Amino acid sequence: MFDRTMSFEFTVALCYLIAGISLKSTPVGFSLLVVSGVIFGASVLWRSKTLVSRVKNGAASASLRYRQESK
Amino acid sequence: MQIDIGIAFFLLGMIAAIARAEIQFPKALYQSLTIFLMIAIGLKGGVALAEHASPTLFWQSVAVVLMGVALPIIAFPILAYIGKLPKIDAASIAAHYGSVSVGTYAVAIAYLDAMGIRYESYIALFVVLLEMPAILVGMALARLVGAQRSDNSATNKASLLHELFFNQGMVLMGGALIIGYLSVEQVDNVKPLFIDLFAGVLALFLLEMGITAGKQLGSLKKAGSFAIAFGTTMPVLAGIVALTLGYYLGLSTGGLILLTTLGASASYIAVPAAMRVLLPNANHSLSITMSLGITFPFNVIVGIPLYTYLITSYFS
Repeated sequence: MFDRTMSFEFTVALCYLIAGISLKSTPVGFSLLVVSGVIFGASVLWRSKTLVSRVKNGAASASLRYRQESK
Repeated sequence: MQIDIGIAFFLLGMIAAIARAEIQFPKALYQSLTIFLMIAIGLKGGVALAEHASPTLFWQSVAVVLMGVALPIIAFPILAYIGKLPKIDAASIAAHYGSVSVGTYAVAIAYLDAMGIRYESYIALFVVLLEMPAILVGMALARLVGAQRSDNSATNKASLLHELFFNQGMVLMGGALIIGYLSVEQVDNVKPLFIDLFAGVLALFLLEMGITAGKQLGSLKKAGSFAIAFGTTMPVLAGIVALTLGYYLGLSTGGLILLTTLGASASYIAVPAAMRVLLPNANHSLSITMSLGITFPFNVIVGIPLYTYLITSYFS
């Protein structure tokens, strides 16, 4: 699941987090922390959604196969 | 706490769109505001060009065009090999990120004016020049990787030339730039409309852009997390390239901020229109979501204050 695209997203989120922490006393630093949170949150949400849909699809096809084999 | 008035109007628009408030800008008004901004920036740039025209400016322009060629080439492998997007979409999006956004440039100008930072107004010339190369590189990339078959028909060539030389930005900004250059002494006659009202018109434009960007937020779910990561990273990468170039070109602090903003911006007017003609099979809604729904708000809310803070801290 942890592929090249996800590594990129996490690296970007980490960079913004570090930049945000180092500029935390400024409004810009706060915005960078928000950007970091958005990228990290979106990445986790997107992957979990994809994972859930894969599990659902997997379960549906397994169920269909079982029913066909039972006949 | 002081917040930039342009950013405040943009946020208001976004909030209104998220809250589904009934605010509707007539399409004609939005087009009028865009036309106004292009003419105002072009005129201002033309006047500055008349004062600063020199062989140095010619070589600066050549360097900036080369930057416009380099940016899509940097963006393409990230999109195609890290984001694993189809090659044709990667080429189309790369073209968007190699080109520039007049709206973002207008915000940067207003921001610098509000902060009292001086800049080279002739950078408007670079805005016009940067419209073109990215479109050509995007199309060349798509053909190189075999995402678009080579089509040498006369109609296609004519469409390409038409989009390159007669797109809205090229005609209005380029035209106003030439008018400003040739009619320096008469520009004062139109100053009350095009210069004095600039900040107010920009605020209206940003309100509309905020509404549009807010409406695009729903599309982000489809675009995926990579689109968000790329849409916020590419401006910074491209901004670093532009900043490095501006530093070696000897631009002032304000000039560095403007060139960085230009590099960081992504087109959402000229390039989408060109790509629809040149790469009709690309996913155009994805590229417009990324440039308008992610990169434009990122640059307006975070990018421009960030570039200004860093450049004034380390390069002035």
